[in-house]
Amino acid sequence: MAQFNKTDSGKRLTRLITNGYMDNIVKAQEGAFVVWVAIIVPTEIFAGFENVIYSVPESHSALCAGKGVGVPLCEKAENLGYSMDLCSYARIDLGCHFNQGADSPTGGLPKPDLLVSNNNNCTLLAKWFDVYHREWNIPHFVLDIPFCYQAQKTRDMNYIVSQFQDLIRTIEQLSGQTFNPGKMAEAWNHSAQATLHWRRFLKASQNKPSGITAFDSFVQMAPTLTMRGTPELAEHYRLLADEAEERVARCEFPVPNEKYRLLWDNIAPWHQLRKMSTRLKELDANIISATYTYCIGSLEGSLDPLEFVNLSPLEGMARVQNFTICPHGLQLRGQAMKQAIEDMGIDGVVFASNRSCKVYSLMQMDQQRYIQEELGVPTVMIDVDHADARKYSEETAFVRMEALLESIDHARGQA
Amino acid sequence: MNAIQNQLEALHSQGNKVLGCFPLYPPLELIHSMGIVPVILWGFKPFFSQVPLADRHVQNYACSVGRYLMEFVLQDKGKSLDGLLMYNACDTLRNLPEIIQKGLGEETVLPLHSFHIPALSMDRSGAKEYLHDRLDELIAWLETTFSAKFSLESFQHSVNLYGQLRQLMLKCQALAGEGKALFSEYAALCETLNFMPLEAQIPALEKFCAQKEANKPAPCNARVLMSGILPPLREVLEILESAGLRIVANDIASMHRAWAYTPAFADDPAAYYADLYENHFPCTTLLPTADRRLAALESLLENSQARAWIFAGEKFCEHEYFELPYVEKALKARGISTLNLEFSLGDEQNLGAMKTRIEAFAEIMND
Amino acid sequence: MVFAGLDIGSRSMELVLLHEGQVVEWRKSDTGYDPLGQAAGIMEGLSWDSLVATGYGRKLLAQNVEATVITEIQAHAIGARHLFPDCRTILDIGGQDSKAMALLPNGKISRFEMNDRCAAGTGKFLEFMASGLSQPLDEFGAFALSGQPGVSINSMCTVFAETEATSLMAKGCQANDIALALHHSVVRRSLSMLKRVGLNPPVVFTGGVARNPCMVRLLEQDLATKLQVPEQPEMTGALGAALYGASKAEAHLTASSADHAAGRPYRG
Repeated sequence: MAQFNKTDSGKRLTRLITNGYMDNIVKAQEGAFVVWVAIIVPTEIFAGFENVIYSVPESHSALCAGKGVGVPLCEKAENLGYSMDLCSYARIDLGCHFNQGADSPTGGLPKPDLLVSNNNNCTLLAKWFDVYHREWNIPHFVLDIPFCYQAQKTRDMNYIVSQFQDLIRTIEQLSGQTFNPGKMAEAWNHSAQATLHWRRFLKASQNKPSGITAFDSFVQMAPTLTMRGTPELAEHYRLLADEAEERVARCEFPVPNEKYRLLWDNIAPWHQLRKMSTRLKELDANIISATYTYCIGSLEGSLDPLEFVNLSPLEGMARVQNFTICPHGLQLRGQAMKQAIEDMGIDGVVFASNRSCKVYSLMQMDQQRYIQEELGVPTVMIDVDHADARKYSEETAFVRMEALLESIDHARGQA
Repeated sequence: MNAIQNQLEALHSQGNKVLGCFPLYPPLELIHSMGIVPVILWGFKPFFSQVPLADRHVQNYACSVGRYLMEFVLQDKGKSLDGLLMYNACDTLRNLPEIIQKGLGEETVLPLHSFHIPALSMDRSGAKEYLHDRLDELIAWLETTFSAKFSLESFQHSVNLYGQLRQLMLKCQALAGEGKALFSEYAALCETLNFMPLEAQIPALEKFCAQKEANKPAPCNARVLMSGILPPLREVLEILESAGLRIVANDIASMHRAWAYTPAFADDPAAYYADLYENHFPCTTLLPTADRRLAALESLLENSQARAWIFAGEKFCEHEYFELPYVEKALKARGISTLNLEFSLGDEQNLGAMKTRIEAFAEIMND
Repeated sequence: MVFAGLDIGSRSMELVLLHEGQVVEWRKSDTGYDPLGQAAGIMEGLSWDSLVATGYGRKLLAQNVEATVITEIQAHAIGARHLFPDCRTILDIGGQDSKAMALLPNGKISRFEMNDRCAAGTGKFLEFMASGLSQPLDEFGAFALSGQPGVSINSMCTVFAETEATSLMAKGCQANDIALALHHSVVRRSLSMLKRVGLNPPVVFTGGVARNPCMVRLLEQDLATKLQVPEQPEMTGALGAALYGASKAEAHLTASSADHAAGRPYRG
């Protein structure tokens, strides 16, 4: 994953991620039961089994895009007949795994024994996993999670919990392993700990100037996807947060002359992290936070982490299926953005309109009006595909972002 | 106002309570049984050349179905619709209810309900119960919003009428398959039926069947199965037909997929709909039906003796495009010729290139 | 008997006359805004026994002149196969569209792909970019070949690619390096089409863009195979159309010989 400041956490991250991918390959060779999951499938469940490991194609695709191999992998999928309009994560993944792991820095993911997707983060993920289900004849378990226009109802939670229980039984049957709920509960506690430290890390952006950039948080999200429920993740995030706090205390800031505090709305532009952050820094601008990175733990129109009191682990996992932000409607997302703008003293919002992610993007025009007109915060919309660099133009994007900075100046002049 | 807007406004001004539904498979029988006219907001393409209001709310990489739907609802402003009902299917449509509400603004009050069809097999634990729960909620919403009352007797009556409709649709398709009717004619009929009450749809279909039944079967050797979420514009169908390609069977979401399966009446709507969704003709938008899709296509090909497959793709429809390479590969392996066409907003400006593709395909088939 | 083939493309039109299997006349003209008028001009003073029209203007012509029509897909396949009898794959890049065709060993088309509505991957794209870099179109390929690799244009969209090119200029990149990168982007798009139809050698490259040496070189590099390029690549469609007429006439020769007593002059 691309690194900005080679901080201790950055080095630890590289090690964690590399080891994670390598461990999975080794364990799979040694006979572990391999599950591929969509990002918000509650992977703590797998910790309840002796020898079940999981891989996350979306995260692997982001890694490939960050390493600059997104475009060739997209092209490989297109050559197989997958439309260029399909999600670039999916194209990268199909291009990679239908070519024996071609181009991937990890050589691809170990072949799965089970696919588990859900339809509330995005429905297309179920269609994407169905491709492997058909081609490789591997079972595909779809979690049907009702979309979150308002806070989750009890009947929805019960419905989701019953599906989790089904999933556990399915893995027991397929893997021949016995589920241990105590180990799952332990993993769930580790996740909760990790979330709290992650929040502490993100809080560094409230400082003026911000102690972090959203680009730091983008790359540091990866282990949440690939190592959820482990004590190592909680420990990594503890050190990450400590380090961010210490840097703030020492007055070390990523954009020392920070004049513009921006909020990013969409998936990270994986192929542009370094370029974009460097160029913004030259303009004394910092994207200090992103709706994307708040997806860990928080839910239902708030950025605050879930209170786990009175919920069993499975119920808690059912609740966080409604994590911020993709499984949310316009109204709840607007609420969360308003909170982010207020908490972090945001000067302007960059809406990244992303052809590869309709769930994220197809409501941004109204969200933009809301933020601009009702909250009075300057905004801009740029075109960025999160992983397909062919659908991005740096110059076009920067002309707009610089215009945003000018309108922030203008607003300040008037105030 | 265009023809469809006129038609819907007339429907409304005749005193009907009109419920706009999307996407294609809402619980029609239930809605109809409560004295409400369900209208599926699909197939607006021939009636709008541009979507200026929708363009203020959704980016141009939303599928045209979503953009036209938005345009219609925003122009209509509740003049002909008394409410909106949507259910979960794809990532684009699920964002639309709230965007529509924003677009309509505070002065237009259009009641809106989001329904959820379990996207898993009804055999999975909790699925039937959840469907039951959501249907109860829907009935309660319909009762309150439309001052209507649910009764089992009228539900049974509606189920019977929709059963008739389904059989008539299949009959029309069979007539096209036999060469007694053109598929383009049948598609044009469906285009208007969609915006009529059921009581008018049934006689219109009966009339179509009666007119066509007496026709002599037209000979044809280029028999085609067409797939897609909606039929292409009539102009495109006519290009196909004049190139000598005859669509003898279809796997189109708003046509065959919608009507192919007729569930038996059950004295509980939840049981009826569990049956309908579980055994529905496979549709890319109904996740649990995916495993049955290829077999269903193969039997359509076999029964209709089609030897070519045309994919009428709606640009940006992930559900269709994720399945395309697999289906295409499988059909080719069975010796079926395949052609991919892609449709979007502004198809009428792209007819020349479309014609070249279609004619080249016909040349290859007849070679 | 004289067989005429006329390929009315979006940018240019080509005419081929065949007599006893030999090309006896070929002409070329811009299509402009009056395809019929241009067609009348290009055919002035000629006569023929059969006319086959192809290209996007084929139907328009056939409405006004007695002509058979075939699609340019078929016309290019017939033309390319005539010039290179063992050819299995054809790439045709014309002014406004590009196509890839796969042929069976017997010469029949098994599969084809065409570009979608956008201009990326067509001659139009190169034309647009050549003018952006102030290069004459005819020399754009040679100019690009003088460039060094290392610069890349990622964007598939014509408008984005132009901005990318402009910003590379602003950063001091050499125009010929940028031109090379632009050619690469068209090649990548073409490769994708070729791979979708299934790539079997020998590959024939037709259409006006096949005159561009940089396109040929880059395609050959990426495909790791030599391309076969007709001497007049833009004539392939018209040639195929004329050949189609000849093959039909051969099939019906005895039955219809009386109808072909005299050549019919063209009267617009």
